[in-house]
Amino acid sequence: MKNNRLKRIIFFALCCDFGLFAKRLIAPLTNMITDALHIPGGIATSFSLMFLVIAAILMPGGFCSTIMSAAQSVIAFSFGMVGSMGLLAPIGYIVPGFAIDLVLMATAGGALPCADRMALANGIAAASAAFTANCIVFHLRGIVLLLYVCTAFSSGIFCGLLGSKIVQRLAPVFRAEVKYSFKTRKGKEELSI
Amino acid sequence: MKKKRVRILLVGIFLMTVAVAFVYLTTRSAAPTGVVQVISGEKTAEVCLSDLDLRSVQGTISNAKGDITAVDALGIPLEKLLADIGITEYTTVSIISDDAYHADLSAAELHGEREVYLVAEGEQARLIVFGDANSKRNVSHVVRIDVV
Repeated sequence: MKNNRLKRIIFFALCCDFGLFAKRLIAPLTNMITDALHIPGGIATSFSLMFLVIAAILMPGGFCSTIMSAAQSVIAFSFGMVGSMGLLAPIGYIVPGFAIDLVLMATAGGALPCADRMALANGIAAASAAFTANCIVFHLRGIVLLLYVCTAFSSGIFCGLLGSKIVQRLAPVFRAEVKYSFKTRKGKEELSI
Repeated sequence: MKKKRVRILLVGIFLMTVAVAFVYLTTRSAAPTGVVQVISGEKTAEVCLSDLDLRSVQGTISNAKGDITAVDALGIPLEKLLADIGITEYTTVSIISDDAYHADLSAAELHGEREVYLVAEGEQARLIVFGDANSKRNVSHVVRIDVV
């Protein structure tokens, strides 16, 4: 196996794991905010989705996030981390992953800078995760649902911008070896942040 | 131009979140700790857990993974609690927690299909539904009960 391919796979697996376990690490801190807002969460998920967005930007090939989120759902099942979603947990993982891919594909040809694309992808993925969790578990209505989704979206935007800073640092490591999955129409590399 | 539009959209969503949070936090009715609000049509009653005739509730509940947890607490059957405040006719009862999570129970479940209790968990109230395959409906930090 070529060295660069191995490096990519290791990074891919690391982002999968970081995404899955980062939520647990940051949950005590984010729960302080969501408790104050009286909503059932949303911020920790945005942070965990940041790793999927980072990997989707740096990895070649389409549907990277969808594959990663499917892998995450398998890992979560094997560790018994299904939460209150139970058997429907894979939907909760795959929907935001698919949303990330869709947003990154939709904005691939445009003139949007990488940071904005990541913020948008992370925000929409977090909002879709919140909406999915609401359909499966919480069944919130009215203004609480609006606040829950908006909080997820806003924190997703913040995490997306944070992720773009990480990508900025990681880009030189992958620049020499990775053909970027999304290129602009002019053929310029996407990662020129 | 497009770049600017996206930035404006992102800032707009953040400001909208702040506005929605402000409206929600200033308009929501917060019950004092240990008090559960029961709303049935026009009628509203406030029930203080410590004032109730609580009895020992024991049993086991199961979560989605099949893990069994033992319950040993002081509580009151939900049907009795509602009857004590004069609510006997209803079709659905919604149990709502402080973070707006809610679980619905039908009248048939309260009248015997399930064993449903409101138990004291520290100073807060918790719903326990024995017999459910998962513990989704065991709402903690109950602040409101909507009776329809």
